[in-house]
Amino acid sequence: MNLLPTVSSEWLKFRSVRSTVYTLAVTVFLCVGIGALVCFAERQQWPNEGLPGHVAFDPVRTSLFGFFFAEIAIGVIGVLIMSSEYSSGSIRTTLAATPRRLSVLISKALVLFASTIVVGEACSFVSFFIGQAVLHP
Amino acid sequence: MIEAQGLVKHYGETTAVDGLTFSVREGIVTGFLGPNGSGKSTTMRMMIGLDHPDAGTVTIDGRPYDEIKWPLREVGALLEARALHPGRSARNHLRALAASNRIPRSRVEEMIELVGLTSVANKRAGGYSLGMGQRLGIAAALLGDPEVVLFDEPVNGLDPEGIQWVRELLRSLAKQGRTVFVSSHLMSEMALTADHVIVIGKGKLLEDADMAQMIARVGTSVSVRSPDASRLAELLSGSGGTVVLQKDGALLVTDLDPAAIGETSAREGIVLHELAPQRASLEEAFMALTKEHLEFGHAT
Repeated sequence: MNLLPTVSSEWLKFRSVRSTVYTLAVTVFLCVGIGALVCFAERQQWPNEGLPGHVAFDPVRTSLFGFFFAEIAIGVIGVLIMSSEYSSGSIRTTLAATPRRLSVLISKALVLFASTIVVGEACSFVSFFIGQAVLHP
Repeated sequence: MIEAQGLVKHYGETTAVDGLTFSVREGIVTGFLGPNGSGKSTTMRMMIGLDHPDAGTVTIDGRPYDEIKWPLREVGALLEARALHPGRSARNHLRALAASNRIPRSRVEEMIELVGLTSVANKRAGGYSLGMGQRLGIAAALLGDPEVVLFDEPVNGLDPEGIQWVRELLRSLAKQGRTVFVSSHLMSEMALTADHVIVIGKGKLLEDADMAQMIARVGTSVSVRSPDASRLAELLSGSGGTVVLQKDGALLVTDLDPAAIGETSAREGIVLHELAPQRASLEEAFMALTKEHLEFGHAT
């Protein structure tokens, strides 16, 4: 089973529509934006928190807080990748080009995995450093 | 060469395709005719593995579709016109298809040019007119330079110029030795393009014949004019003909050939002003064939 052509086709499909690209941008925004916001709030609250709050404080966790929300956007991308094929009818074209259903499913999963892990990794670093910069007195 | 063997497909209680056996030869245009809802699209979907037959097989050059390694290079199919993502441009749609079957990118540009979508190739396909969508579908079907071409209602939504273009395209593809299989619910359309016709009704095979044979099988009627029409009508009915008096006074005679009518009138000394064989139109023949097989009865 040679997946390469199917994967490259799915990759092209993934990046040639607005919905997936925009949702990916939303993922970045949620992760970095909410992370920075939570860090800012934490810094404002710091003098009022007292000892228990200071002991429980985890700077990494605080700067990566946006991930809880970004995960939802990634879930949306996963749904879009499959459901848009059915809602538009393009699944017929896809399966006529690649009659092996499993190849299509695996390729879609690979494209989703690769694109979200790259974006997710980048988000983590950016959120972390922005968070640290915000937290730093 | 496409071969269908005892194809059966049920959707719940309804039987969409009911034991179809036929073959589609290369080098000619084969028309696939039937009223709406007669199972044409289902049959075509089974040919490219989008539906699984409940019984029987359909093969393309001896293999089921899903065993072909690069299917787009061997079979080009135009099914529903809107089998594409509305947010993707024509160019990207074709590029993704090309990538999936290792078809060179240059071929994408050739196809865009061939179907005349150059100026809108980078626009979102959702904004295309019906005719543009149909052209894009044809570009996708021909992308892999396939030997077998399946077109489901290709002229739907096209303007007269586009219809003419599709007809010529189909004929030229057949002339190049390809297998061309085109469905339509209009007999008149097929009469202009097809060399062979397969007619189905309610999923059953009704006719599988050359176009010329089909026309001959329709049977001819004869228009007869005579100053003594009523006596002639009586005589002709007496000798086995079916006579219908037309509004303009002519008699339309079926089941008797012109020679027999001429001889009868000569024997009885009746003057004839006209004795003209009428080719029944193919559309009428098609209606007659499928009359009892209409899925949805309507008053016409």
